[in-house]
Amino acid sequence: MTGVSTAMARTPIAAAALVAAFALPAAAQDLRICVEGAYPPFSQVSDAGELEGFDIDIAKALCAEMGASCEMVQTEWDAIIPTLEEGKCDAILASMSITEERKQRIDFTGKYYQTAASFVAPEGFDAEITDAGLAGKTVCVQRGSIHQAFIEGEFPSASLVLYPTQDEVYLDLTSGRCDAAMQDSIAAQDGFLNTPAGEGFAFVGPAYSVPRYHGEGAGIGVRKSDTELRDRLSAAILAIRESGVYKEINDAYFPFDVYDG
Amino acid sequence: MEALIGAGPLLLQGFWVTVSVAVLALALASVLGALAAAARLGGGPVGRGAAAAYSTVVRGIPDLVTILIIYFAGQRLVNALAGAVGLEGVDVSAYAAGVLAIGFIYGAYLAETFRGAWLAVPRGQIEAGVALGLSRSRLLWRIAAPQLMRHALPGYANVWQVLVKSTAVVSVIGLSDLVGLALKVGRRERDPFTFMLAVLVAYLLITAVSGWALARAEKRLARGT
Amino acid sequence: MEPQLSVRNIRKRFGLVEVLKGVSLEAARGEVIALIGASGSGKSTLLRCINLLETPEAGEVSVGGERVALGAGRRDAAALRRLRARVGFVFQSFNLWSHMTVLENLVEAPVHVLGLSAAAATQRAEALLARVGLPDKAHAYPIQLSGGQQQRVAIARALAMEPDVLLFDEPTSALDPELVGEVLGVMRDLAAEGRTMLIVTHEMGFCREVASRVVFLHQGVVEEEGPPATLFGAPKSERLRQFLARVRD
Repeated sequence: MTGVSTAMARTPIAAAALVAAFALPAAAQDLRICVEGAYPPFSQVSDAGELEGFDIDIAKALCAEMGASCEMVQTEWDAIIPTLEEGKCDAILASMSITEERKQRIDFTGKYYQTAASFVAPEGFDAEITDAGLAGKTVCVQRGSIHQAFIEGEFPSASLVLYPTQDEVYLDLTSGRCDAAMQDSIAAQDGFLNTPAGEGFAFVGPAYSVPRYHGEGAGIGVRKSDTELRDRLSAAILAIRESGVYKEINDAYFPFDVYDG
Repeated sequence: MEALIGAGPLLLQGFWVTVSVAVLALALASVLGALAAAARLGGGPVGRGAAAAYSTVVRGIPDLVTILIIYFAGQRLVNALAGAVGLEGVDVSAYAAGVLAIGFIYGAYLAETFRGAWLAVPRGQIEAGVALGLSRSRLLWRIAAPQLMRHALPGYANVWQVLVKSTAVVSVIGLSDLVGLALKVGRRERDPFTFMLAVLVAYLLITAVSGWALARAEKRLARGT
Repeated sequence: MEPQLSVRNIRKRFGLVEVLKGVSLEAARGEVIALIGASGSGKSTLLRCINLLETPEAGEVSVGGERVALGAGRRDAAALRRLRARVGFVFQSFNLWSHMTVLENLVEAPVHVLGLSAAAATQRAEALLARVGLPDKAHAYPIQLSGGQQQRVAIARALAMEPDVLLFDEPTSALDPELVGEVLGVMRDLAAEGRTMLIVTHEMGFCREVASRVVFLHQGVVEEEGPPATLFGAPKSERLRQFLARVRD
């Protein structure tokens, strides 16, 4: 991956470098990409202070594909769209779902992955995964998530319990208060099933991906005026799918293809 | 615990970012606070009005909003100014924006502290200096300043403690301070609690060291009281 | 011979109130003038105008030949400081610098205004402390001293500048009665040394004993002046008679 700058945009600064930091000239990179660094395993900070994860690898691969020199700009999630709008970066690659609401402000490339949603339940859970089969069963989800809307729409007979964070969903699943939980498949795999707390639990039923509930997948955000960049990025996504680079990255993180969810 | 040790060097870098942002911001806040207090006490109507507006407005806005305004609107301003004189824009770094924003915010608090401290210096002692023919600068540095600092110190210490904690907001503009890094690593390790404990210890350390230094300063300045 | 202190036609108003309506006063070398009058008569204001702690609207002050014309317009700050350095001022509330030791209080102005060396200023300060009866208090802080002791230090601080004229603004009014004597004692010694002094005071006995001349101020003008024996023994003005009747009981 030549020509790709992987330095964090704002590495912690030693006292000697402080003065310079106050007047950094505009970076000479072709492309500055806003990433989050706080959404494992897609985006996280290593002990060496470097950005790593699926999103980061995809970003590097896309830059190599386009022959562009790139700089990663680590940005807090809440400030990531304003950071793009103010021109402090040129694209957001941060597992951002393509939604109607976000499309009001920014443009998206085509998806670069799409996670599905799945039920997780104790091993041995034998209820049929239908509205009738889940009648009376306690299903737990994070409040305000796409999963709440999905359960309400498709499994109205289930007894729905809502939690402020996904971590609390897992907690009550292990305590036995929930018969099953519905959430993002990858998040469940990585954040629960692969951890000691997830022992004795498993996915049940199919992986769901219904556009009406689950959106169109995660895309790369660009400013509305940057249609040329958007199209170049979209093409590059398809190109790395084609070339096998995507699969290489995918397999380093997931035992299944995340592109189609 | 192993994860904590592994992340140690990274967290230490975050610790230095937190401490250096706090110290530089305090220096900036002290200058701004002194200027605003001086304007409020001895400036003309314009100076007084500006200083009062600064205090009122800044103290009324959440820190988070101020820092975002300086980072984003500040960038627009710089770009516009640079564009006006035909230069290429300069990137307002997150570090600079963080120091500027926090210094700007806490300058408003220090202005009040300094103003109160100035008013607490006995007028008669200043007059005695005037009557003996001391120059203005000598009056200020030898007579007023030591007493002003003594009166200002408790408020100053208070502002410092709050300022240190408020540096955590800089992570919103992508600066890797201690809190931001610890939260990220904690999430990565699926063990936020351990990392929060580490942050707690680090902040207690800052508090303890500054408490010790301030107690010493207080003792020095308390001579003759 | 030119008078040591000369004040001509001083006018001062605070807002709408004219506190001094053209006051003139002269003191020859070695003269001790007591300034008396009811509160609000302008006597403290007059004292403060002489070394320009207050800025009069009009008039002229001259001390030991150093002349400063007052009134509207810019004044030479250096000339002002020279004048002030020639005039010692002792305040009612002492106004010692609380964060400095007695010795530091005494050497500050001699070193930074007169340009004395630290050693010379210290030597002078120690001699003065001995003279006001506090030779062992050089390293004490003001708060560790009684009011009377603080006022004696304040007098020593004024003397350290070797002023041509000493002004006292009610120097004993803030003191407990039993401490008044020690301060008056120091002042009595200074008068005996031949210092030129202008004293605002309510201590009529002290005036009678020490003053070479008494000036009675009433509503911003000099109502009557003369030697203490004449002024206290046979006051001409009805207002002075009334004033003396009130302070005597």
